Amino acid sequence: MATKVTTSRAGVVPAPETKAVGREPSYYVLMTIRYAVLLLMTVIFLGPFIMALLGSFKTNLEVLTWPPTFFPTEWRLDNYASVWNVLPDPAGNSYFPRWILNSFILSASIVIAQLFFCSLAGFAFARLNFPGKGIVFAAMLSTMMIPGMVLMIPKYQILNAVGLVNTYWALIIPGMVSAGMIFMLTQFFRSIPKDLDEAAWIDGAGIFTTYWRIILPLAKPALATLALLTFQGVWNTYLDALVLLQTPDMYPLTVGLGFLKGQYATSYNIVLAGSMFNTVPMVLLFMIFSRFYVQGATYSGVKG
Amino acid sequence: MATQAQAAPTPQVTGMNRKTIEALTGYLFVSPWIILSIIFTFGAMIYVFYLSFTDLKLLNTPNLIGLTNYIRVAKDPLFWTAVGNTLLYAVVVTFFQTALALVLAVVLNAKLYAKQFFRISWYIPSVTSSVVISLIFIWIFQKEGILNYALSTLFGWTGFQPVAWLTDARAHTALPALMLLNISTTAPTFMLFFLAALQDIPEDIYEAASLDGATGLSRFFKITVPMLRPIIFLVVVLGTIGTLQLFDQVNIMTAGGPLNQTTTINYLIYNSAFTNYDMAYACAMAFMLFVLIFALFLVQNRFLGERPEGR
Repeated sequence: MATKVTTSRAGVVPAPETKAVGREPSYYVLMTIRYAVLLLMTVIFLGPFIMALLGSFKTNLEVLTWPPTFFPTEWRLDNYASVWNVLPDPAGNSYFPRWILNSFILSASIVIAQLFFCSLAGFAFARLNFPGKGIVFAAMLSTMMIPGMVLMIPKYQILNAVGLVNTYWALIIPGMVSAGMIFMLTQFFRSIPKDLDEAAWIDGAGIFTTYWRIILPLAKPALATLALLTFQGVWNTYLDALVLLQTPDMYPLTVGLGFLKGQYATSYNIVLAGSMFNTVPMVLLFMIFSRFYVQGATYSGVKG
Repeated sequence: MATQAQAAPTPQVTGMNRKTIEALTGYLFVSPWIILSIIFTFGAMIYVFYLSFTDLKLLNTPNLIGLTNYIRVAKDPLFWTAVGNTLLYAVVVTFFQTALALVLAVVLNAKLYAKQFFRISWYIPSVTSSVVISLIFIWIFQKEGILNYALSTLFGWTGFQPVAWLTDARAHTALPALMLLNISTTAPTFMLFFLAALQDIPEDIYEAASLDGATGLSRFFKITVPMLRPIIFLVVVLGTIGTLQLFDQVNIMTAGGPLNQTTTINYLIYNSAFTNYDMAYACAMAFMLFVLIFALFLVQNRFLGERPEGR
């Protein structure tokens, strides 16, 4: 974990010392309170996750014991082995690895589709002029307000009518574009100087070439943000998969874990171990690439 | 948006001029979104509205039956219970997550050691799926769980007794438990919004204010809050839209129970449509949810929003 003191974006504005001459005792009191609050919040925010991680190494008896233990009395990997094999399909193959694979296939395909389609649309909104652009853009932003559940029934009916329910396509096709991601990329593309397009045009480059060869390479950080946020979004998706994927062999890990909980409601140790397969990859991705996540929050709205 | 019309010196273009090519390419590039949203968003909205006047169950041919579904919804006590639960949840969670996020951002926006550590570790709940959060918190909230252990250790002297947070109907703790859960998992995300915006407040404003004798709290309420108004509006709108759609946690943790104390509108819609296969009825409720969200947005816009120019 990056505990070294970095001059993060937050540190760029050099908070000037209001009192350069010596520090009053009140400064130290204030700082102590600040750190106390920060540590308390860390315990509240992270405590449950750390306890769950530790719990995934305990026996079910120990997970349910009162008073609760902090570290496992004996570190066991059995839970991980059990959850991997616990639910076999009729042919005797375990569902669990299949769920992880399904989650990965869905996330990866949607990321690839969105990288292309969202960047095309963002490029058009930011750098091309066409009649009605403002209206289309406003319509796109307004769709972000429509609750997913409201659209769920027609989505199910439409996809069912074309026979795509219970296939990967049921999630991939509607997921190929995202208003939020197009908005984020539009914001980013607007920040690139417009002269570049002019220069490319004068050199005889077509619009697609300009997009592909000049603008996209400059947008790598924004594209990385999109890839990470979308991957995480699909990896964690629940409602759409719950409705549109109906047999256990098609479940992604989220729906699978809900299913697992239904079967093994009282085996908390198994459920916790299963949960770690969903969480730990996302936490690792986030820790490695955290700067892109912050950028995502910044571009999507705050700097709007 | 690009206001200057660029009538650039056009090199040898055969047939069409640049403006036409640009416009056609623009439509082409946006067309994936246009096509998909015509089907899955705008078309779907119209379809929901239409279906809400029919007798669709699961796969039968829908027949128009007028306002029957809406009358049924209005007379359904469970629907109004769900509306009450959802609104209470939305108001409490939106208020506290916004306030907590703002305070945390201010606390963190100072010269501090290990600032990066706090920022990264607080964000971990936000990268975790709602399903996993639900599974973990079923365990945390149980009667012999960690929350009760912590509370009875700290507050045992007040006579605090462990309670089965999610299942004790008489204690009415299930909805508050879901509120606590959601506040603590979403506040850190919104804190990032505020943290980014805080850095755009020029330091000289604070300096000028402190010369005028403004301190701590009055700095916060007289400068920080007004300067962050657009972001507060954004966070409140996003928070409201999100909280009005509470579903995952309910479906996994409580299934609406105990005694419908955690039944939300979304959970009711899901159950009607995909458990009871009463789809037209669910469509009527879905459309009412949409109207509710839109109405709340207009109210918030009236009181908190200011039209940002040139969006």
